[in-house]
Amino acid sequence: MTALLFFTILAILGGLITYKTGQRDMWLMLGLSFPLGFGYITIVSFIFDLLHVPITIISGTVAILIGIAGLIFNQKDDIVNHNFNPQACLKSVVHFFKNYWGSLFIIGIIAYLLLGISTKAILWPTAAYDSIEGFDFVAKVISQEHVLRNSLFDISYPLASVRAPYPPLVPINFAYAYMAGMEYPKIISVLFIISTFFIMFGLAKDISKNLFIGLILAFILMSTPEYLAMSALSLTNVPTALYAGFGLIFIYRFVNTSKRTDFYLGLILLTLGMWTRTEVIIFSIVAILILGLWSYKNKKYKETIVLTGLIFGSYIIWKLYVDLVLQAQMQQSLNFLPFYDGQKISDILNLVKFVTFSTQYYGWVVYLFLGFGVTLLLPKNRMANVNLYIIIIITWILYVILYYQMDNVDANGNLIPNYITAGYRRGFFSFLPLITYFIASSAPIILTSEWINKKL
Amino acid sequence: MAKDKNRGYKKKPKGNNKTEQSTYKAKKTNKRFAYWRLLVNIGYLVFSGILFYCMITYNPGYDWLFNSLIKNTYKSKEQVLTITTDQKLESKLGFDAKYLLFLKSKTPEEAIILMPPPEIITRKRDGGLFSNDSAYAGNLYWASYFVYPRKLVYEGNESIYSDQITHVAIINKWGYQYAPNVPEDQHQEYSVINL
Repeated sequence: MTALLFFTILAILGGLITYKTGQRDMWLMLGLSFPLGFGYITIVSFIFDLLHVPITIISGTVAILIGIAGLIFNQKDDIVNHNFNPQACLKSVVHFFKNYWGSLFIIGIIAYLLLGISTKAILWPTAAYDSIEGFDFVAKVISQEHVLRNSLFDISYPLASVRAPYPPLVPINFAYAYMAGMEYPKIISVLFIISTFFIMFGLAKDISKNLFIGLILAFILMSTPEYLAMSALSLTNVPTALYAGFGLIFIYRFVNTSKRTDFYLGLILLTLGMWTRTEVIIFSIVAILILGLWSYKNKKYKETIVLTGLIFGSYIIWKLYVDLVLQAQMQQSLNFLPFYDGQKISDILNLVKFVTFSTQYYGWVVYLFLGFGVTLLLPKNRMANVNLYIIIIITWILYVILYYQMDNVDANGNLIPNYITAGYRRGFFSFLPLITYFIASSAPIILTSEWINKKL
Repeated sequence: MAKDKNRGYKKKPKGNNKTEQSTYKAKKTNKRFAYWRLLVNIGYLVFSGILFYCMITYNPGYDWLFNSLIKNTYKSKEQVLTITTDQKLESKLGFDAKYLLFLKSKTPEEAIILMPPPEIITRKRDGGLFSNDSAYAGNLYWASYFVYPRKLVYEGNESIYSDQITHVAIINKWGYQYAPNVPEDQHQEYSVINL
């Protein structure tokens, strides 16, 4: 009961934050409510820790209620008088079932999938090695000791593995699940999966202007075998995929539409991504680059400066906290200087090729990306879509380079395959929303949708 | 105006009455819209069905997802609900979890437990019961998750708690050297003793 109440008010807060950004799409608000709520409680708990305020379910609840009150007060006129209209939401649901009853089969399949994976996540305790040695252990100790700088990081008896000082978004939210009385914290993973579905549906439907196409694309994303299977484990990759993938999508949308809501959402999601896993820096750098080009073209530099400041600020704050307060070793060491190792390049590329093109892992998604890429040659295609294709490929190249720059070789100088077959394999999840969004915005989808909509 | 039985909507009105003309046009459009909507929705259903069929028939990944992972989750749900968390952990993580949970259940929260060196914690490949993979009772970080807030000290490793040991983990009969008062005929393969 405590957990239900806690996460309900957290979602309300996240919904209000989404509303504050100017986003009014019901599905996007639904999808973003938990991820933004999780982000809020993470930042607040981090501040609590700095101020020596205990992280408890009561302090967390008070912080959420203050946030809700503040946001309602701030937007009260808008909510009461203007835009917020529950009747319109209900009307759109009725409209959906009236005009799209043919989607019921796919809705049934999606429900079957989501319910199945949620059941698996909720019924089984944490068993993933990384989680036991890392974030779940940290969460467990936070829930007992009510501080982030807890006994795991006691330098006289250190229990913190290299995974323990991961950015705190996942451990803190897991800790709240424990403190709310849940036996396992994997409800958080479930909420991330469901959120991912709603966001993808909201975006795909918005760009294709067809609810059925939106559903099909969200279904293709959700049913990616490795992604959905990993969703049931308490790993950080599924939340990272949401923050990094959708963050970059919103920034991309902003440079195309100049809608402030897209900028705010991209900014928030990428920043929260940095509080989830530092590898989000790759997606953030690409976002900064495309925003920088937009700034240069439009002579508006504020957005790029704010995004850059928040991304690198988040990284620096957490790095300083780990070094100075926790005094722990921060995950993977990177070689920042360029170097050449032909054998390593060959080993990485071979494994990357094997993993990326494995239909066992990603189903048809990568092949759909390549197939729809061919349609870029169609004369009716849009330039913006070509840009998105290039952005995804550049991000992917940078992501592979990240693995090359990592200190991931054994004593004999050979690549440790696990970095690619496990790390890269799960890290690729962040590309799934980008690929699905690209498909949604591709010419065949847009033209089909326009043809159907014209007749309706 | 008489109803046209064949077409389902009223005959086109004659004359210059603009209201009648526009009402007629709207009804005709609505009817056409309804037929098209029906057709499109049937199309949605057929497309969804074909897509789903092709996914699970022609791709091993989707087939595994639907016919193994998700199906088995629903199938085993009732059974899983009847077992305890410890049993679930044992089924997932094997003897490593079972032994560590045993240690937890037999010691107080403030216990400082002496663990044997890694070579004593024999893995399956060496004829023991402990896991071959990295999920391993010999790993301080991993093992501590199961016994927290109890503290583990591995024999041979330096620790500030080395001189404050309260319990000894017995693995493969190792550890009885710290409890000479326990008769040899009472030595067990796996146990924990209070010093």
